[in-house]
Formats: sequence, C-alpha cells, structure tokens
Amino acid sequence: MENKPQINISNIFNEIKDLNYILIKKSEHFPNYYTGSDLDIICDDKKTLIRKILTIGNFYITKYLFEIRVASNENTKHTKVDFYFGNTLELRFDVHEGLPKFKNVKIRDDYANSLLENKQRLKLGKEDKTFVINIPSKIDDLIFRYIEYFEWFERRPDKLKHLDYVERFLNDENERKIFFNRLHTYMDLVGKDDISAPTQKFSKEGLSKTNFKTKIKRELKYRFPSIYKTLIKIKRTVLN
Amino acid sequence: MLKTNKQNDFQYCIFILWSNGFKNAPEIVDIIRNYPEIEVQKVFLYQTDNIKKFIDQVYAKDDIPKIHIRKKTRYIKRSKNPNVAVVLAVNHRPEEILRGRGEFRHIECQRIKDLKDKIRNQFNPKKTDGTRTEEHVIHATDSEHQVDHLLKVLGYKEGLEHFTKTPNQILSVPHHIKSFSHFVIKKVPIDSVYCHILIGNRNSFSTEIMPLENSPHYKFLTGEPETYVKYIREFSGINITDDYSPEKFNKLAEDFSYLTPPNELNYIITDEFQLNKYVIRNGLHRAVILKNQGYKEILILVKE
Repeated sequence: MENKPQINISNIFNEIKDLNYILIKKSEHFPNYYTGSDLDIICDDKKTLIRKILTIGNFYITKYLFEIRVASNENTKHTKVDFYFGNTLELRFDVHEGLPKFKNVKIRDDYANSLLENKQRLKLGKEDKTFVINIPSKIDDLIFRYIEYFEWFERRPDKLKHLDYVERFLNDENERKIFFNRLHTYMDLVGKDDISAPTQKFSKEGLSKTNFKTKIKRELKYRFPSIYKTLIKIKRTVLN
Repeated sequence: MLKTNKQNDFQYCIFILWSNGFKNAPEIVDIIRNYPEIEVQKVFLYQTDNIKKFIDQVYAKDDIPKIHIRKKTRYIKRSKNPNVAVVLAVNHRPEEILRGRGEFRHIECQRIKDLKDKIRNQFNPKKTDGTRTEEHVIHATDSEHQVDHLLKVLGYKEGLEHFTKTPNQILSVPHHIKSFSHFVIKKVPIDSVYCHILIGNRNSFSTEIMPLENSPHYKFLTGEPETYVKYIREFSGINITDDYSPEKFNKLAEDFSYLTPPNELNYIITDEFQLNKYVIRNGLHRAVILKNQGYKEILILVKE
C-alpha cells in the first residue's frame, strides 16, 4: 500500500464555510491531527454538511485508496463519517444535528440553537492559505469541556484534563457568572445520578431550608460521592 | 401527510392506459416520455379481476360528478381485458388551473391536460367522419391526492410515500432500495462487481448473478444491441418497471462521466454478496458504461 497522505482538513472546512455549524473540542494541533483523531461538529443541517465531506472524500478514495465508512443513528441524529486507510481509522467526523446525547447529563435541546447563534469565527492558516472555522464562544467551549468531564470522569480518569482546562480559563468573575448561569439554564443530571430525587423526597417532608440543604448534601455525599466531590471542587474554584 | 416539494415546483402524476389503447402503448409511452418537463419514473402493467370496481376506484377521488364519470367510462366497463398499463411520472412544471363550471369545477394541470389531449386526439378510436370519439385511451390524475389514492389501489400500501421516502438520510437513493443507515464508499476492481439479470421469459423467470460483461446491458454497448432490446421488451412492465429504453441508454452512454457535478454522490449502489464481490442494486447501466470506457477500478457504495 502506498504512503498514507494526511487529509487536508482546511479543504473540508473551506467547503462547509457557509453552513451553520461549530467545531467543538478543537484540539490544539488543529488543523493537524493524529491518526485516529475525531472532529466533533454540531450543525443544523447534517445532510448538507456530510454531502460536502463526501464530495471531498471522493478525491481521497480515488487517489489514495481511502475508504469512507458512514454510520448514522437517526434516533440521536448523529452520523460518523470515518476516513479509513486500509484497516486503520485515519480521521473521524462526528456530526451531530443538534446536541450530542450524553448518559449522565441532560442538556436542553434548545442549547444547540444557542451554541450556533453564539458561534465565533476563527481564522487559521498562514498567508494565502488561510481558512475560517466556526467554534463555540469561550463560555460554551468551557461548558462543553465540563460536560465532557462530567460524562466520562467515572470511566476515563484522563478526562480530568477538561476540568483542569475549565479551572484554568474560567478566571474572569463576569465569565464565571455567565458560565454557571448558562450551565444551570441548559443542563441537568439524569439516570441513577439524578440529584432531583432527594429534593423531591425531602421537600415532601416539609423540612426547613437549612435542613433540606444539609440532607441533600448528605445524600449526595454517601450515595453519589463522585458527584459530590465534583460539586465541592467547582464551589471551591468559584469561591477562590 | 405527503412529502412533496414544498414550493410545488414538481408534482407526481399517473397516466392509466386503458386496454383500447394497448396496441399503441409503445408510441403513447414515448409521447409521455418525450413531453417537455415530464419525467417518466415507472411503467408497469396492472391486472384487475374486476374492471368495473377498478374504474370506480380510479375515479373515486375525482371532483367531477359521478354520473358523468359513469357515462364516460361505460366503454371501458364493456371491455373484457383486465389489464391496464400504468405510467408514474414527475411533472417538473405543474401549471394548475381551475377548470369547468358549477359541479364540474376542478383543479387540473394545463400541461397534463395538453398532453392527455394530444394522446387522445391521436389514439382515441375515430368516428366514421374521422373525428375522435370520447372513448379515451388514457386517464391522468389531476392532483397528488389522486396519485396517492391510486397508488394504494394499485397495491402500494404506503401510496405516494412509497416513492417519495428516502432510503438513506444522507444520499439520494432510489425508492426501491431498502433503507440503510450504514455504508462504505470504496474503490474496487470493476471485475469484482456483478449484476442481477433476469433469465427466462415474462411468465417464468429467475434471477442470476453474473459478471457485467455477460449482461444484456454490456452487450448493448459492444455490438449486440438487440440482446438488450429483447431483454427490456420481455421483462418491462412486469419485472422491470423503471423507465428504461435503448434511446435513454444511448443518451446516458454519450459523454458519461461518473461522479462529476452535479452527480458527485450518485454512487453505484451494491451489496457485498461474497467476500470482496459486490452485486449492483442500482447503477447497472452506469457500471457497464464505465466498463466499456475501459475503467479497471470504480468507486462504489456498499450497503451494510
């Protein structure tokens, strides 16, 4: 098999420049990538965006013997467009029409509109080879990294890097307020870690506000210690 | 709810060719096929065991009075022939107008009416003085509402939805392909691509998977056009219902360029029937053209 070429990501982003999308969790190496990397895209028209990726992809199939594997889940409106070289995944486009689905976190669907409305344009490249990509606003980027950490921290300790990132960049008081405001507007916990359960239980008992808060904390601490630790950590970060 | 074009810049329509026009069926279908802005999608035969009931069903959604319909269809009910030919087409420029007065007032497309009149003037049985009778050889629908109803009568349970649904959310794929959400686009040797071909005759047939070069389609391009002509004639209307013809094939083969704008994503669609062997589900005509053009490898879509 001939030498593996790098996929020219700037060509692909040039092709989709007029579409309403954002690239989330952009790596620091972008537009370079490591073999097996993925690019997460949220958009409002998955079909058009993927068709443009495939149109460029034809070139890589014809010239370099790449294969493109496409897998869609219409329930979650998520499509993976994978560029394979031989049996090796070279690059994956994770395309979401609307928000990705998380197991531990529930995000209101209209957050996708907010993300796309608040997107920022970022110019990359040098001299005459520049191109523009759409990325989330700083606050939305931090929210996404925080959600990513929250979603995975039990199974993937390396995701702690996202929390570190949030802590490092959330240093402006005004931005912190916006961060928590937006986070609480759009996000909730789901499943076994649903913190609304103790709230409902104790509110029925007619407890005072202080006792109510103490009991919630105690419940969280013993039933869901990992969530409790995270909340304490965030609280300390904000207070400091 | 029918999924038609929201701007109404195209509409589906159906032509029913009654048995009194059968002897001129090829010419009539040619007139429809060659009419501006009309694109034939399917041509097939339908056999009914009760022509009277069938006629009532065909006109059930018409807006004109039933008594008039009964009068104008009397000649068909007298016919003993239980067959009708059906042409499903897309009208790319509907020109809807309100026609008639009083209880005869209804919406119809001027373009379809002109086409219908052209066929009726030419092929309706003639009176002794040479003028046309009102024993129409052809019926046409006036609206997609009627198309939907008629398709259900003809056995398509989903009606027009059957033809407008998208088997894949990303690509434009013909309605006869089973829905799929996973696929691979890859380059493969053209010799690893095979086709399904009908063997036998229209009354007794089977399908066989064979290399492209053995297909009537490839032979059409390589000096044996009659094999393809015979194949289409034998099976069209029953086993082959898409609108194929030697003329259309010739036109496609002229300057054919695969996956070039605006058809960059119109892949030849296949299934992998054995390891690294693929059978075409859509795009046989294009595949044999590429083979005849000398391509050794082609891009295909493999459904998973």
